Amino acid sequence: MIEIRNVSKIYPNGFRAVDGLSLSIPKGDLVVFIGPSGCGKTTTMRMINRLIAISTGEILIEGRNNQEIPAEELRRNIGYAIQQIGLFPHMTVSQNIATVPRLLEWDEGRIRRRVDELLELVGLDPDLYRDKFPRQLSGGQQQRVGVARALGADPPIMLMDEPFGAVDPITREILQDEFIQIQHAVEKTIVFVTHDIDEAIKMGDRIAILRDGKLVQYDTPETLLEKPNGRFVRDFVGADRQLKRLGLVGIRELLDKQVVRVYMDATAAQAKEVMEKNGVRSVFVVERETDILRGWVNKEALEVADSLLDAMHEAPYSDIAVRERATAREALSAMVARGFRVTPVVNREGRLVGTIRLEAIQELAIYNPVVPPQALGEATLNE
Amino acid sequence: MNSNHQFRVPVAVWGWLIAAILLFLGTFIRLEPNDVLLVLRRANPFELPHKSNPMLQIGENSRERLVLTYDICRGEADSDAPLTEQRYFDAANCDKVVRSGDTIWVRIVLENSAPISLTDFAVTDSIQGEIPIDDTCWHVDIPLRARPNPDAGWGGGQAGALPSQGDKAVCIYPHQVAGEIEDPLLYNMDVSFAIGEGEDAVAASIAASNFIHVFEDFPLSPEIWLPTFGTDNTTVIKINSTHIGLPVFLLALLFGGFELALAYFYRDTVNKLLQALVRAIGVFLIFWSFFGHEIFWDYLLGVLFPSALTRTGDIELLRPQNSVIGYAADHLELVIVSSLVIIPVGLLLGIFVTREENRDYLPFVNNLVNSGQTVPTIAVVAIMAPIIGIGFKPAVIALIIYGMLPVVRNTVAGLEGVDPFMKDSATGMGMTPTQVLFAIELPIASRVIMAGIRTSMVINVGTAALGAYVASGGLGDPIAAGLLRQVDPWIVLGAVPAALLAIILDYVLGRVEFVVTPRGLQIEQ
Ligand SMILES: Nc1ncnc2c1ncn2[C@@H]1O[C@H](COP(=O)(O)OP(=O)(O)OP(=O)(O)O)[C@@H](O)[C@H]1O
Ligand SMILES: [Mg+2]
Repeated sequence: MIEIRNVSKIYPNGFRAVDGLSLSIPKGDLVVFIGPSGCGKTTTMRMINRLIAISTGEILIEGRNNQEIPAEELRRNIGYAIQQIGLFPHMTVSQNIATVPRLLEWDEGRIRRRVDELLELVGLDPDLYRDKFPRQLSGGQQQRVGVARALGADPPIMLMDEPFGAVDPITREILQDEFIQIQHAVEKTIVFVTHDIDEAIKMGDRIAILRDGKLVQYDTPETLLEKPNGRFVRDFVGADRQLKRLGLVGIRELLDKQVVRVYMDATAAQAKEVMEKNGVRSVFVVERETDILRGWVNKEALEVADSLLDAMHEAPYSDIAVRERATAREALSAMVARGFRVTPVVNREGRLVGTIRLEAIQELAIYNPVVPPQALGEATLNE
Repeated sequence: MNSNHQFRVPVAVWGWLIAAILLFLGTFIRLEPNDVLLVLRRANPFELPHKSNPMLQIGENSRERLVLTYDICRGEADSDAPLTEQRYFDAANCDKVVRSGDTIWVRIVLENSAPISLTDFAVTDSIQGEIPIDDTCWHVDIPLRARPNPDAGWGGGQAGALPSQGDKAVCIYPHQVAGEIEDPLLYNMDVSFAIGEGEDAVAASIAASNFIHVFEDFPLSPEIWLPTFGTDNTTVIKINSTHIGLPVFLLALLFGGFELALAYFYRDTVNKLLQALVRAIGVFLIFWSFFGHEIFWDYLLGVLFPSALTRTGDIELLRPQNSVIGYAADHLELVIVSSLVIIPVGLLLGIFVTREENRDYLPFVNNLVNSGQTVPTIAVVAIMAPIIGIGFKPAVIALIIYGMLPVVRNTVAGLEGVDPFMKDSATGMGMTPTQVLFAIELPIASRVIMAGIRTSMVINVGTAALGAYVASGGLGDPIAAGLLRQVDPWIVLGAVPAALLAIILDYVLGRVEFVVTPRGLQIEQ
């Protein structure tokens, strides 16, 4: 639990980088700070671990004023990954990661195990990377080491300043997923800065939107997307916020589990019979026993073909189906891309578990002005 | 470990081999009969005369020589006390001001350390403006068998003899200085003797002269602005043939072997420092042995500068009084002693001004060390001399002032060059400022800092040569004397070793610099 109470930072030149910020970060939550460049995200973070002195106000960590905790002790218990990565070039990857454990005087065996564990966690092969120097790594690899270093001594609180800024989108996604898992597993209180609203929506339990050192809105991603408070936030989250909101909904709720299917070894006649019985014009073809999706077949194709195998469109399930863990946004995107009105949904092994209709997603996305008219008016006045 | 590396004989090994061959050929150089050298010399021309140490060399190696030492001391004219050697040659008496009417005592010691027989030994001497008191030796200590007449003493035209190795004669002559004393007084000595006996005897003579400085109102002190090398008290006469004893080429072969072994054992890893050190030690030892063979060196310089052979029958001394290796050692001592102060002080200063809370001093310290280098060394030395006096200390202080800049500047530059984000993340992880300094800043800055130390030391090898002007010793002595008296061999004698010293030092420190750079920083970005 971090409580920021009416904190301001006034630089000697009179500039108010942070202006009367109040915000409470519940224990175990990942809170994302987002806002335009120069809005005071980094400054706020650095006031938490006292790298920057607070001008007015106070910050409480687990109920203790952070000014009362000796700076070094405070910082050793707060993992910190800086925006510029800042790996020590004269130390190997493992020495870098072991920095805080060494400061805490862990024994060498424990440090070694921890380093390997963390390297695995951030997706770097320990045997390959342990003894490399930062200059031998790519920007993205360095950033991962930076994250591993921040996690080094398993601190209860983490401050992460754009930790995934320099990695490619694919790796970034992997890291994000892994990080969410770590977060759920160990219940750390994390302050996470990003410039990427999608990342914020994906990672954050709560999102704080800052502007000119002031808090504009502090809410869960859902609320933020549904009820952006004012034009600034609306612009910030983007015109496609409804689409983004779909990104927060899992497809499980939309899943139509009654799927008509035929097995691969069925005859054309059997397939036709199934279609007629259910009144559909096409069915999915799955393997017997395993239920793994192999393709689909149309009624028209069956008319002219001799066997089911000749008539069916065969394709790997990853090309035609969406995963059951996907979000509604991903399902929609897949459908748009493939031109499907209905998409099959498979589990991890490729088993057909259901289908999703385009209309179901559309219904979900329909603009629903839940925001009361007066709140909207207020927000508009605030602009 | 990567064993793909092919073992290759390093180039340096061939270098050693060539050196060994050249040195081996050098052993065939035989000095002609009558080429050899009888050297009378004084240890350090800047030292008071009574500490002088002239030598006559005639044997096969540098330990076998005829040593002729002469000391000059001042005594009181009106003393009635018995004349003992002790009384007149203790330091208290020697350091007194010479006034008209004083008695000056000259002690001559002749020691035969060579396997020769010395006969017909006679000394005549004079001091400008003196009233000779007595022409005979006042105090004698001559082996009985060497005295022609045990009661008569020695000198004053009477001949003595030192027939076998180890014989030694001591004699003290008084001279009374009279009239108006001029500064400096000139002391002249003529020594004549024969080497060998009977028919084979070779007659030899040495003329020596020495300035004795006299200041009416000051304690006796040497001339400081014009270093005087005593050409006058040195003479080379030809006596006997000799050749070089120690085969230096073996040393070169040995080091070639070392290098080969090192290259073999470290073929898979980088060990730049060990190789460099072995190489430097090897060059130094060869150099040292080379100069240890003074005859060889004289011969070489004689070949290089034939014009230095002036008088017929005599070769003017090619080597000044001190041995070159002695000069080099003095020189290195100046550099090392000053660096022992420069390095810790420079580092501390550099660290101090780069701490956040001391930022205010940075421009001040920068200006201070910058001006240290702007002021000409000779000026620093000149200012130092009247305050501290002459000798080792003022030279070291001048070197410290002069060499401080590169160390401080590079320490500051190195520490300032550490990426602020590095310090930031170190602090953010809970390091104390001291931990940040030692674990992060200094290792990252080490290469730049070491480069500063290297620059400082190498510059000071050059600067230390100016120490000759305050009589600090070192390789500047022969250079200054050579320039002053236009004796080219002397200049070479100082300049070549000084250059070599700078090169070796730079080479070794360059390797140290490489080694202290953390491995992670040696990687090109
Ligand atoms: N020492 C300083 N003196 C004056 N102003 C400063 C100082 N340091 C930072 N600022 C200002 O404070 C503001 C907030 O900086 P901060 O680093 O917190 O921004 P940020 O939100 O992290 O931006 P970014 O997304 O670009 O990292 C900026 O406008 C910056 O110019
Ligand atoms: Mg920032």
